[in-house]
Amino acid sequence: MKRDLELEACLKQYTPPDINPDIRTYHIEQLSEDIREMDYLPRQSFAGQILTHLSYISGWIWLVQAAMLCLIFFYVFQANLLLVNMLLFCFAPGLSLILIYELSKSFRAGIWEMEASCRYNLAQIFLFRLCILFGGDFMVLTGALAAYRMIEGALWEFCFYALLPFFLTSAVSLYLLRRIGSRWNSAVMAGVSVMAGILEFGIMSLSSQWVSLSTVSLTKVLPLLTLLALVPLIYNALKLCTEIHYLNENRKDRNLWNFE
Amino acid sequence: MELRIENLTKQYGAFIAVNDLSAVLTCGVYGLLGANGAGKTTLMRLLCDIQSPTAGTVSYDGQNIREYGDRYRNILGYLPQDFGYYPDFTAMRFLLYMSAIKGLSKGYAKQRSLELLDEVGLLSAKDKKIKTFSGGMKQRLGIAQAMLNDPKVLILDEPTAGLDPKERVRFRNLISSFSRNKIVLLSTHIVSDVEYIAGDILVMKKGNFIHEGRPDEIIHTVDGKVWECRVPNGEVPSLENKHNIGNMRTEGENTVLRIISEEKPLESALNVAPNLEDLYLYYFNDKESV
Repeated sequence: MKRDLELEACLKQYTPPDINPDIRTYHIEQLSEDIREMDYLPRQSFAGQILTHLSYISGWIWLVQAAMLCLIFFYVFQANLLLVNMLLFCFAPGLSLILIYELSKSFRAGIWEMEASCRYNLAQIFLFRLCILFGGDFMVLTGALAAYRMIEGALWEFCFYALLPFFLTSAVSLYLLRRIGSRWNSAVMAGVSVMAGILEFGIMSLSSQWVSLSTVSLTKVLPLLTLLALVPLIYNALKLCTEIHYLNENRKDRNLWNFE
Repeated sequence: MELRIENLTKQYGAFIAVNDLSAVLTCGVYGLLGANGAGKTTLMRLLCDIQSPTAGTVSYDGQNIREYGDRYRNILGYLPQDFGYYPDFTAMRFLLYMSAIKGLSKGYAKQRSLELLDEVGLLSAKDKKIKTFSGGMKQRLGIAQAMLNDPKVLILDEPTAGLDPKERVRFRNLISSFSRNKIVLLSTHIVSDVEYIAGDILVMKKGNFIHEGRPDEIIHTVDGKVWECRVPNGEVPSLENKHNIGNMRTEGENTVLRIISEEKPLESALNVAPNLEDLYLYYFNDKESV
């Protein structure tokens, strides 16, 4: 930094030379010539594309995910299973909402039409983003599971408090994103969050009764239910990454979903 | 190189936005002229394979663009009518992002982005965030992104909307310089844009092409329908209700009116040579729907 300032101060002592328009034109033509000779449309591997898109994912997402994980570990080290369960129950849908928020930024920013007309169209861009974001979520959930096992939490409880809400919220959000596509915006996001919150609160208040009523059957049923919840999630994710046209083409629907 | 539109139809429920259109576009600049709601944007989206047609096909060099897939998108540049940006991106980062999704190599993307930023006059603002840009600057950045892959087919939907006259002139010159060996389709309802740069004009109304041809040819379709007359100021309101007024200029107690009408509106009216604006007003007057 100090060197930069010294350099800047040094440069300020000299006036920049006048640019010769002929030389400028010559260099621009030379640059254009170089560009024409380049192989500018190389085939890129899937991993290469993922890496490219990784640099365009909003940085705050990794920070939020890391913060969630840190908080879970913090309470794990305090051996507070009840608080860990509550945190998982709140964070799991939160994780999926972050995912959808980032995924739908093309619609929110109004850039989706430009993206859709590119070589890697909107469906492929969604695929890259989904791979990256699900990858991040997978790491957070794996970390949370590892922490959960440290305080001897049962697998079915982890399914109930973390995986099931995550899968279900993601499936519903992806479905909504597919259905309302270009009119997806923060209002829908807020709506989904509120609905998810109310639903979760209801389930949470009933959960203690369910657990005491039929612990034995829940231990078997919940992992199965969790696996089942993966089906709509995978279905909606696949549909999102294979559909090309995101405009809701039925004009009648426009009135129903016009939040703009 | 040709873009062939065959019996292209797009229907939303009972509403037909694009109605059985057929045309062949070859190298050159085409102006797509039509009022708001005439179906221009839908047509452009269909040409970019962003929307699927209800019937008909669009083919590039004999191959359906839907089957052509990414190979078609490799040669396509598109500037939508309403578009936004990721607000935290700088101009340079935005172009690099667009280059990445256009599949351009990193080295090429960087050089091409700088070259285009220079051409659209944004090189000095390359590291500024887009949210600080004026409407004109954003529009110019949009044009730059459409040109990144040196497209063979360039589709620009209302590219001059929101630009001031100076920027419009600059934009027109830009398009002219870009348009060599390309199919450029430019939609607008600003008549002067297409008048200056379009070699051919497609006039669109209610989802149909009602005219297509060179500007001077199309203008002849309203020959004998444009009149000029001088009337006292007090008579202007009644004439306004009766006729399609193209222009009015007050000169003291009198007003000079330019009237577009099938029949002579007044005894004193003189028939004058039409221009593209008259043609536009003739086909898209307020009294009729789009």
